[in-house]
Amino acid sequence: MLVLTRKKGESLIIGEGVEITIVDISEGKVRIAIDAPKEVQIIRSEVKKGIEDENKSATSEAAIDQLKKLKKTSKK
Amino acid sequence: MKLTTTNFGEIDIDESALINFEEGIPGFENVRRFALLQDDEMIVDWLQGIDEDIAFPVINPFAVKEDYEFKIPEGDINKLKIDRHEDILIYSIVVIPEDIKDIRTNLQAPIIINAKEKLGKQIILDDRYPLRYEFYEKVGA
Repeated sequence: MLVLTRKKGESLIIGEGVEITIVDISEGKVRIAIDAPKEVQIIRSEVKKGIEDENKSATSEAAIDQLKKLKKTSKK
Repeated sequence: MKLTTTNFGEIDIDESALINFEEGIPGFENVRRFALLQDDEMIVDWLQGIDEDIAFPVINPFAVKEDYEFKIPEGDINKLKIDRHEDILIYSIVVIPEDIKDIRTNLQAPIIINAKEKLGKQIILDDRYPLRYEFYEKVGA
């Protein structure tokens, strides 16, 4: 993994068209500005992790017998 | 083709109807091919993995959240080769816990399927909709 140091106001470029600028640093937080083509999606890591965990719950917990108690009418 | 599954036993699958998730599904990146099993007896349909025996229960999110709406990000429209909205199927993944009253679905990351191209992807929306949306009162007996 590449680790590098940037100061407030400095930036770096990743691949083609993604530029990350350090906007502000204070009280243990860093504000960053990201300039990227609109087809590049930017997601907070914890959001992705939450979705992975929820997907794992969906495949492991499926209580099919419980499901049969529910009404079918509201499906479509 | 015949497929042996944990949830449904041995089932017959039409290979030409398989849906390709080219990036897998978050947490299951190695599973690329899925069959959509429509189940007339249950409130959910199922996305059954072909490369691995996993099954996601999925629901029509608009049935449990009437005012659900979102824009598919442009990058995803390109990846799924979408050019007509009639070709799209939208689902959200359901978690069915032992206590059925806690049944919930993921409105933050719906599944988009381009039925014409047989391409699918779980897309990630902004934070407007919850990861865990409980909907028992919409379907409870």
